Amino acid sequence: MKKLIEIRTPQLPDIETCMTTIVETKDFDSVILEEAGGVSAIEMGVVLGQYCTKEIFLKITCRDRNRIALHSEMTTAAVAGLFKVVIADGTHPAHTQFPAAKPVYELDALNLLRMIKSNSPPFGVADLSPLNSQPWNIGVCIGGLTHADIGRARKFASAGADMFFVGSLAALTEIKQLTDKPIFLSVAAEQTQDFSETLREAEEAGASGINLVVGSNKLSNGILR
Amino acid sequence: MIISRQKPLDEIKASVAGYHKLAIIGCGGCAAVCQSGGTKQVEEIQKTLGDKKVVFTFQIDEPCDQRILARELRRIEKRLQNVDAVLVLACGTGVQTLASSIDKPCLTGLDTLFPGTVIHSTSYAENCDACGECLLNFTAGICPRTNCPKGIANGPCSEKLDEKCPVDPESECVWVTIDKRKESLTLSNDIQEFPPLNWERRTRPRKTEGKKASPRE
Ligand code: SF4
Repeated sequence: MKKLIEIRTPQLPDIETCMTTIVETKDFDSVILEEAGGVSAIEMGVVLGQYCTKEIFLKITCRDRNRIALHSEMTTAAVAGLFKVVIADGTHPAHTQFPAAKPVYELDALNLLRMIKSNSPPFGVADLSPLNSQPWNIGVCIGGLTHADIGRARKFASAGADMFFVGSLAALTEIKQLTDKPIFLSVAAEQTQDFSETLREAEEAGASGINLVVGSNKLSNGILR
Repeated sequence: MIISRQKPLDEIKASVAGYHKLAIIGCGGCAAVCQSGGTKQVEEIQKTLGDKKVVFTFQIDEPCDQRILARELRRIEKRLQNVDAVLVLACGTGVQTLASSIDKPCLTGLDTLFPGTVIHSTSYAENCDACGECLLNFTAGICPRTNCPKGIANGPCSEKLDEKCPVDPESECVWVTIDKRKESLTLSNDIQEFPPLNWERRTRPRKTEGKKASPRE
């Protein structure tokens, strides 16, 4: 079973510690990099790729970019060879270090997936070169387990999602009935007492992997233990 | 209804600091309902501007309607000549409509908040963003673009955990509310998908021309 760690890219003073920790840890096979006011996830992914063999995932959210910026972001990721991408709507700015920032969400995660995967996304101009020629491996995040969440998961599946990230074992069981794509269980680092026990439960429930989400952009070895 | 609230007094005082003779004009429509620009609020502001000469106060029912405004302005034309500036207690639309109709500086005493529902006096709720691409026929009459803090039209978002909204954990996720409403009204729960808003159509300032707003293409 794959072990992933999801972090927010660090601020200036923390870059070295964060990079060293990721490069040196043997506890995780993959790292998901999310940008939230720290260094560029793509830049960090490229640099990490030079120093370790861990799988690099980008997490791209709709929170702070419109479709033009998202298109550029995906294009740059493709040029950098970073094709594993987790997309999400993204934590509202009110709960970030920039609470007064404008929430963008011009595309939602479903529309972003369409923009990446569709031959002719219905919301650009006709000659916009489609992103779907690239070998993307796109993960989507399902928030909960209500009828509405499952409805959205169905839409993601039909729009070509390659992986699913869920927040609970119950959701994992439910999403398994919709798709045979890999499903990862995301757990918050600060709420996980016994990582090996969570790992075992996820494995038993048929998860393809576990994603430990570190809710801060400070990463130290302590979090990885 | 356009919901507005009075600016902090210091800000109002600072905005009129350079003028001595003032007129204060209130709005008898939305701002009166919001108790931010009614007759009483006009009187109160007049009292707090004790160092100014308030030449006259006046109430216009809908200063945002040029037809009503033109008629009402004829009644105060002469008195307006005697003031240095006009302090307007109306929404941004009312202030600008008035400002474009007279040759005096117009200052606002209000902040305009949103178009919304009046729940009861001093309690208002936003529920329409005037996006021009209404989804209400598909969402059980509840606008997700306005009622979801992220404006997600294909929800629920990736961050929702249970039925609550992580942005405001006291509130139910609007997509859960829509779902429940559809179920209780036995409306079709077919999975719809909505494209993002077409901002080209929303290029500002928006206006409609002709006899009435023509249907969207
Ligand atoms: S939980 Fe629901 S209402 Fe809250 S931000 Fe997400 S989609 Fe919007």
